[in-house]
Amino acid sequence: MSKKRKFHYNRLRRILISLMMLLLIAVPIAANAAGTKTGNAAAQEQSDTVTLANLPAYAGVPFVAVNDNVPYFTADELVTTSFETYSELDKLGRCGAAYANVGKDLMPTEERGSIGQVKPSGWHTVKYPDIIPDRYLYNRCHLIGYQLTGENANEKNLITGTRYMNVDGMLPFEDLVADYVKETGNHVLYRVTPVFTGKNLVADGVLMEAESVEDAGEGVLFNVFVYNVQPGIVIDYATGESVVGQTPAAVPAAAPASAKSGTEKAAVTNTAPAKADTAVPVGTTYILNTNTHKFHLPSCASVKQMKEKNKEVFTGSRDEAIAKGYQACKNCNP
Amino acid sequence: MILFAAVDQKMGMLFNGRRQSQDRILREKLIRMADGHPVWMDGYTAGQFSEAEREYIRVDETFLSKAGKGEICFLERPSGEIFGIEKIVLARWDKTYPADVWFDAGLLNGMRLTKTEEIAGYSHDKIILETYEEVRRL
Repeated sequence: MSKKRKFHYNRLRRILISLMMLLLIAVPIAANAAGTKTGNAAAQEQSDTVTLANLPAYAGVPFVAVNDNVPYFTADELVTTSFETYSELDKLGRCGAAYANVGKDLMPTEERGSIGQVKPSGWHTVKYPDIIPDRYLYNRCHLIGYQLTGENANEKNLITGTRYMNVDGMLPFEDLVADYVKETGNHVLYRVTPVFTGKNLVADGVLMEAESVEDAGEGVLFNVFVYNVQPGIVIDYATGESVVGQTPAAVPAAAPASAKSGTEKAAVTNTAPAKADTAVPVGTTYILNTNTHKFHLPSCASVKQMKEKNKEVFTGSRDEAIAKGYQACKNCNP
Repeated sequence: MILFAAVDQKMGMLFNGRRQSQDRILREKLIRMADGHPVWMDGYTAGQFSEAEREYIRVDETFLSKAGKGEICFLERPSGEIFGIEKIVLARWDKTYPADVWFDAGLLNGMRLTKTEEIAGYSHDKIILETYEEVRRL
């Protein structure tokens, strides 16, 4: 072989080897990426099948469990690197699914900024001070809560949500996830999908899915639909218009009887329904002041100042405390 | 037996078979409260304690009937009757979490709140410890 031919042969061989190495590296990455996309897309398709039509009507509890509280994630989605993605707005300006693998590194390190400049689909600034303690019917409701990924005025992450859905429905789940991540340093795969009927501008509710990654769901696992309702208000979901009116019962079912006398105590109550998966609180503990006829949360500072002879422990609903002739403390606002 | 439980603002304990929350500072506090005695619990609850903390705990699936007078039982997954409660200590999270199992507030009937203590947790800004004792013991 001539020197010139040998040079060309060696050059060709180096190029071929480089190409083969490139293929060896690139193919698994591409396959993995495609697999992740496919897994997420497949899971998303399943969560997209959740509509108000195949869920029980709102009946006084802010959320209902879906798919036995098991999220629609696939195994290949459970990774230990943090990420967050938000869907593009659709032609009607509506949000789609927000999806994240929440880790400590995504969590905010500063207070939330202003989000008032965002006007989500169906937005109306409307107050019902006689019905809603915080007056305003609608909140700019984060799909993925600020405490999880630190998203401020991201229009792809804000929907028109009732105060009730935001505070009573979504916030407890967001806090559960946030505190778990802060405590353990683990990740939680998390997706919130707003559910719209037809061309409505206001969502019927949101599907919230979460699974802790490093412990395979042992710490956090849920799949719930949170209703976008406000007790005492009727909402036109097509436009966001609203009026005062009759809504399904907002008062939870009565507390089961429990107490026994002496040292023989009833077991701690487990009232979780097997199928309906709806939560029914059994009542709250309040401290009654038999002198002033105010009632307080046990942690209220006023309780420490109260004379022992005036203290009475009461378990039941807020309404029951009021029915007994007691007024809510204005400091702890029980 | 001193019954110890962690509850949220609405007395919730569990959701979907999982504890609502946990905090390492609270675990340290609990061990200090036991003052050298073992803290009784089941295997599920033991799962949140580190290897270094294991020497302070006693794990038994029927721990509520095994604990002696003045010993603390850390209850997370309630089932069955509870006998011989001398005192209840509730560690109240500063939030409301989703719940489908609640602490039976009826256990506090006939008891009086005798002490509240606020501690700062690791993942919780504030945890309130509430001690309830039977009225006749006061």
